[in-house]
Amino acid sequence: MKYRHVLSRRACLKAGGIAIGLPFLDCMLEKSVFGAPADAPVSVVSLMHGLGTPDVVLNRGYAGSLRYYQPLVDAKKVSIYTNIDMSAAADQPAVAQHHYGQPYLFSGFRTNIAAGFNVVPQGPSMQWAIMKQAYPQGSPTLFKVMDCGIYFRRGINYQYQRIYDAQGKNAADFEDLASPVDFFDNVFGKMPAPIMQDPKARASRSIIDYLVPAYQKYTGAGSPLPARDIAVLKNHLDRVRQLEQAVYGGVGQPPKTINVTRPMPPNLKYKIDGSSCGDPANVYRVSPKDFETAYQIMADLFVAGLQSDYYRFGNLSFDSGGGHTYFTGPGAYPDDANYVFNGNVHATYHMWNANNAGIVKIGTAHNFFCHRNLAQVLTKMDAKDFLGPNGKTVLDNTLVLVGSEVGTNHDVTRMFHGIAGGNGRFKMGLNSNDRIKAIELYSSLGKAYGMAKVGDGRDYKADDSSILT
Amino acid sequence: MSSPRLRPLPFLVGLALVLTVGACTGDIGRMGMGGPPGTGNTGGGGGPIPPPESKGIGTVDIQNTQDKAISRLTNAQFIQSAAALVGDVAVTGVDQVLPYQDRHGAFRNTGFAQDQPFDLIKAYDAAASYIVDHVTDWPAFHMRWGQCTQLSCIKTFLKNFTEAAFRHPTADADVNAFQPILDAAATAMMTYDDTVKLLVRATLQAPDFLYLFGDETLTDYQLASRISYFVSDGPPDADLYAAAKAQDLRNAAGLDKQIDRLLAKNVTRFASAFGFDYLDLQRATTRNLMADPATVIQLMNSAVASFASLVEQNRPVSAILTLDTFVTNDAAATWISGAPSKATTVKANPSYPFLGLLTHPAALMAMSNSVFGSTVSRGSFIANQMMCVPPTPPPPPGIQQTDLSALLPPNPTQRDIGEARMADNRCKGCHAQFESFSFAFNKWGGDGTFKTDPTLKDNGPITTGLGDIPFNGYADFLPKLAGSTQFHRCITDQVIRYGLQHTEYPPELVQTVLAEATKLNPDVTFPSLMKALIRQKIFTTR
Repeated sequence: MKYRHVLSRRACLKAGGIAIGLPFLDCMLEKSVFGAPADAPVSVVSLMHGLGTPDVVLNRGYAGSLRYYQPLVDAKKVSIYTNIDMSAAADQPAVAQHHYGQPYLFSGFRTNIAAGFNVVPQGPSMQWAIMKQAYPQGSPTLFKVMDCGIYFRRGINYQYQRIYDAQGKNAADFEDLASPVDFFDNVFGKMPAPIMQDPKARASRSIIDYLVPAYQKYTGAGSPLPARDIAVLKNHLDRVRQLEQAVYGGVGQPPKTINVTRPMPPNLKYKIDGSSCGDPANVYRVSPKDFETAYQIMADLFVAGLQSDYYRFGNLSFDSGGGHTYFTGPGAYPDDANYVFNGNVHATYHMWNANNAGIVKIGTAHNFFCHRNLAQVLTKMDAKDFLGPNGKTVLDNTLVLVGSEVGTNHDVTRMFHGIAGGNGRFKMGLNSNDRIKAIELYSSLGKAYGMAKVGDGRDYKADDSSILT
Repeated sequence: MSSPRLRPLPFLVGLALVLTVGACTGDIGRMGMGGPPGTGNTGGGGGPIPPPESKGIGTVDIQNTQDKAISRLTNAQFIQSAAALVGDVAVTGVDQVLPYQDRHGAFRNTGFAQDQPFDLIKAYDAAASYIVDHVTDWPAFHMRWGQCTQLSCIKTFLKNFTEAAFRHPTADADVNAFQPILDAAATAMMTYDDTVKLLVRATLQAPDFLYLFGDETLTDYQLASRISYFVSDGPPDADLYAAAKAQDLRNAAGLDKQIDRLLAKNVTRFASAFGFDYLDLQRATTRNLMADPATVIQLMNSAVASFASLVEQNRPVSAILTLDTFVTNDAAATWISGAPSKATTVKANPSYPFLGLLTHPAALMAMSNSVFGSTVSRGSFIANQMMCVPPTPPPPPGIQQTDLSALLPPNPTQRDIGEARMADNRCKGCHAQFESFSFAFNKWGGDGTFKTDPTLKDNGPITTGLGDIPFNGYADFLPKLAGSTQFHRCITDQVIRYGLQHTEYPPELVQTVLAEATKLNPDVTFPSLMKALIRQKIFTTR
């Protein structure tokens, strides 16, 4: 087994500065017994993209943007679904909005809308729910839920928060991780050295031995607090246990290293709230080339974290919920070699008209751009130079959910979903245009991980067993 | 330390989606608590009528969502609380260790709006280590809390230190809970100093330090903490703690004595924390596309200081909208005066003829979604945040982007577009409730500058969710808003939410607190509102 991780050529070319060695924590792997082959830990991530795949593109099959998945589908690494029905997300699904679709995507729970269109999902995302199912005592990794991406809108919570807990709150370890440098610094760059034989350092760990029962006093059966307060303190306790792993863990573990280099991504305002399609004169503008470079560097880091088992659950966003980035400049588009992006595609979706060739072209070009990048991330996850304990790639072992909160325009009745990995739990290699209810697909996925129920049950009749092996 | 930490991180309540217009009904609820717009009838309750209402500005019921959860100390409160234990020197710079926490549409001291992301919990550990590493006078520290430096004194130290840290007397069990640390320290043959450092680090991460617990009816100590964190953004001082211990807070005279003392002592920290969230200043960092980020931070500091000054000077709350002097730093003074300046206060000038905090450059950036000032985002901010007009629902499905071009003149301004929306039957139901509140600011750019373009109109009358309002420019409009009953009711609501750290309270409380505050000071000031709130029974309950 190799523990050396090498970033993509793209990232390396962009990189400079610090290279650090990181401990690979064997203790985090699922243990085998009596020499039996070790199995892979449960892991679920999503690749969300803010603008969906129009039906005119879906209808083109592999001649359209789905071409980028074809090698992975043929290799039985991925299954794609081009007729997912997410109608249960909203009362009027043919014209639903991002604030309905995004919280429902990969959760199956409808949302309440709070002031400013912030969403309050009525249940957890599948990543969080499966994590709780697989690890009732908490994920044994340094980080629990890694939610990151490249996006330039953050005025409303669903635009940058993609994974919710049982209370419908942001479940991620970091509230808004949208710059490759911030990702590196927070996830890799500041990792403490493992505590070895230093008695004082070992004594520091006793702080956790105090804190855990101190919080348990308020979260246990005898707690005098109301349920809402207990939920808050339970989450804090979970985080204290994470702290134990991240800061005080690894006693006696000889560090095996992977190499990750501090990236130098394009100079973009990664933390900006870049205005909207309603304000085209002032919206933040990004070239497709810079966006793609930033996204793929972020993907390299995200995948490196999965490969080194720093976390097992997460999301990597291609643009914000709703999209919103104004792309300007040339970008690869197979239908037109001279194509130049110039607009906020979110606005194009609002004006969607399948009979307007100009609008269709803009939407299609953006969709090609999006799926080319997503497929590239899946390919990176399938790298053979860093295999899991069962000898399979991260892509094989991780359930990867690919999708957007909307389909054509803001319609959620026909959507694209990609499903990869799952460590043999699901059929791979499918290219299905069968109509499948999202809630039934999600329920099948969840049940394969031992969950009794996924989503709010609205419009649920039966699991979609066709996806199971 | 007294100001909230400014960092370019996310904020909430982007309202761009309102731009995607729909055909909502526009029903924002019952107008007035006792009469139609413009009658001046504040409805409900008795007592004196608050400041005279401007003609044309009505009232509307304030939405009161039922939401509460235990509150954690904000970053500023964490630092103040730690400073009270280890001294100011040790906490200097620790704000750089703590990540910015979003206000999630509410005040950041509000429990239900607070998350516990891992980076924050990890930062508490780092902050505790940082603080311990920066204590410069350990002998004095030991004498203060344990009176000696022998391991035999450690339980005495723990008893004294945890009582101060937890803001209530501690039992033997609380002290014995630290035994795992004492055992580990003994095994490692650590010195008294090093053992105490571990204990301090643990205490600063303990639930009783980080969280503000409350029984259904608050104990004397819990009440002291609630008062103290409300008024001073920090833990109870010795006098207040002693009053709690003597049960003096249970009688009106004893309670009033402490409130008056604390309000006279220092309300700057309250003003900074409240003002930063109330004006939603964090948005300035992410909405700014033009100015140097360091300058924007300085502008935000100026806005916070200006807000604090009106609270410190016991000015009427209406001064928020009519202030004629800004407290400035170099960057803000230079920005407003238009030439290099080191003035610590500035007045309006012809190139920057400001009036009130909504025309402060940081506030303009924060509430504007674009350089030319989005009428939607500004209108929403003024309607929802300043006047408590209930937010309109999300755009209904069906009409995602309305073509208003037929209604627009050549080269339309943002106001032209806004007026076209309000003239369109599909749009006006919602947009007429809030968007026109922004029209008076038409000459103020989202880049924090004043525009002299003659095509920019900033006159009335306008149609709003609070009735029709006539005015001639922002300098006429702002005093009318400031004098309205609804503005006073709305700021009272905000003070209640901040003080209670949640949004769950009976609707009549606004009128009760406002009436009592008016009795205390006919001008209605922040201190009078705060005192009126603390006197209410609800303030003593969970």
